[in-house]
Amino acid sequence: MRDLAAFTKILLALMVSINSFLTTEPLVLAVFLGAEYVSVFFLTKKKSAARALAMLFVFACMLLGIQLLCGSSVTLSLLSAMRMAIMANSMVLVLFSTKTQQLTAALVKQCHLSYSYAFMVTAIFRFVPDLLAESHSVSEAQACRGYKSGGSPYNRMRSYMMLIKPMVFRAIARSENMAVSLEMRGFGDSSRRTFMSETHMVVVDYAAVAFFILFSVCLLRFL
Amino acid sequence: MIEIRDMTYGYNEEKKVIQNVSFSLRNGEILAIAGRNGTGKTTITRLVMGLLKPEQGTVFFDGRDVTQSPAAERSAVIGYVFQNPDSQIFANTVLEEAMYSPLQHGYSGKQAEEKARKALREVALLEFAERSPQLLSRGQKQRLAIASALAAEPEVLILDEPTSGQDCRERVQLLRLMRKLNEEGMSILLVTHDMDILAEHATRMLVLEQGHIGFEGKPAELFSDKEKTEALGLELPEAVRVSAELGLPICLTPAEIYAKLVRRTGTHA
Repeated sequence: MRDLAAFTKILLALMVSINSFLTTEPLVLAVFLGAEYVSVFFLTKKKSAARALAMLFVFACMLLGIQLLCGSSVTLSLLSAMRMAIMANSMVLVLFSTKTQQLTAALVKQCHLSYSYAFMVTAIFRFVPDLLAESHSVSEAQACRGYKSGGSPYNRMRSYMMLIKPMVFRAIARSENMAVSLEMRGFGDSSRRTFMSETHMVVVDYAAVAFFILFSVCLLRFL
Repeated sequence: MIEIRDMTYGYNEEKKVIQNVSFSLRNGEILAIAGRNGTGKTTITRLVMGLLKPEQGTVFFDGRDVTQSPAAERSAVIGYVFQNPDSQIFANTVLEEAMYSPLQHGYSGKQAEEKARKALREVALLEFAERSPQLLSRGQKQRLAIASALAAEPEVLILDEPTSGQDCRERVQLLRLMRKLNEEGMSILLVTHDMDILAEHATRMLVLEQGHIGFEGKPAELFSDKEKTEALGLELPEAVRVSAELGLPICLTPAEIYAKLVRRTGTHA
């Protein structure tokens, strides 16, 4: 997936998500899901992507359990859990295999989204690792003053406040800095804007899309 | 007081940031850690604090092996002040912020308040006790972080680049505070890039070089050897350079230069 254009990846993620709603056959969904799990190992080669998919798998299992407990049928519960996993996995695969700048360029140039909105989308993804690093450093700083996240759920909730507050303050300061530094460098002047990492669809992209359509049609038709 | 023995640590399998490093922080001294960026200065302090677990090696505190004890437990005897105080400030008032650590260590509210007030007095922030910490200047926040650590009455204080991002006045205040705490018996482990601070305040120094200790000894020993200092990626302190240019024996502080000049010329300014 690394060699594909950002737009192709977005397209494939959308198609796999749409396909998951076109079928009520768990076997077809299992094939899509399996293909995503295989993709993460062979295409992104990132441990963090595999971890994210594993977490989503656990979340899907929880969703399945909750639905069963709420009285839904096994098939319906399985279908909705698998659909959720397929959609979320496809997004994870796109995010982990595409540079943020490429994603922004694809959203603006090929999806014709306004640059401000495209930037918002990619800024959120950029903020996630930053916030994770921030939360790590905050929890370390608090551990140095005896912070332990144990005890009753109420105590835990209370003690999380001492992590959340500094994180929020630092996140606000960081976003203010970011906004100022963007303004200072001409953010918003979109008419003349160029992109550093623009990717265009080439033969391999069209082939990938064609193959995926064929693969999906065969799955949906014959399984 | 603190002894590190044969410590090895790496953030990934391929490259070890620290390799078989051994050193000790003695009672009542200021031990400075210096070195190029990425040589593992902060990593060492995090290993001492228990924020990282070593792959190999042992940490002793007063002869007791504390390698496996978590940071929260070590915080009763070791205070750690981060480079950026904003990482830890969460309370609504300066006093509450300073009370957190003693409360975590099981003191009653009254005892915690007494300890917090004492620590705030020590860092000259008592008058701001009821103010929001977010309204303090960078230097005041750094002093609040020190007070928060002091409130638990630790025996050792780790300061990671304590003067970074501070103006001249705040920097002087902080260094005076560090000196005062040391004179009162506090052992200090100081990470710094500032050779002037190091020369003026450190009792001993360690210089890290590619995961190993490149130098360990008194600042004067290293700074009297210009080639070695530069080979370790450090600059000579200003006082050392000026004293060399004036043809004086090595001086680590402007006060020493002045004293030696007075002795040489026999006149006071």
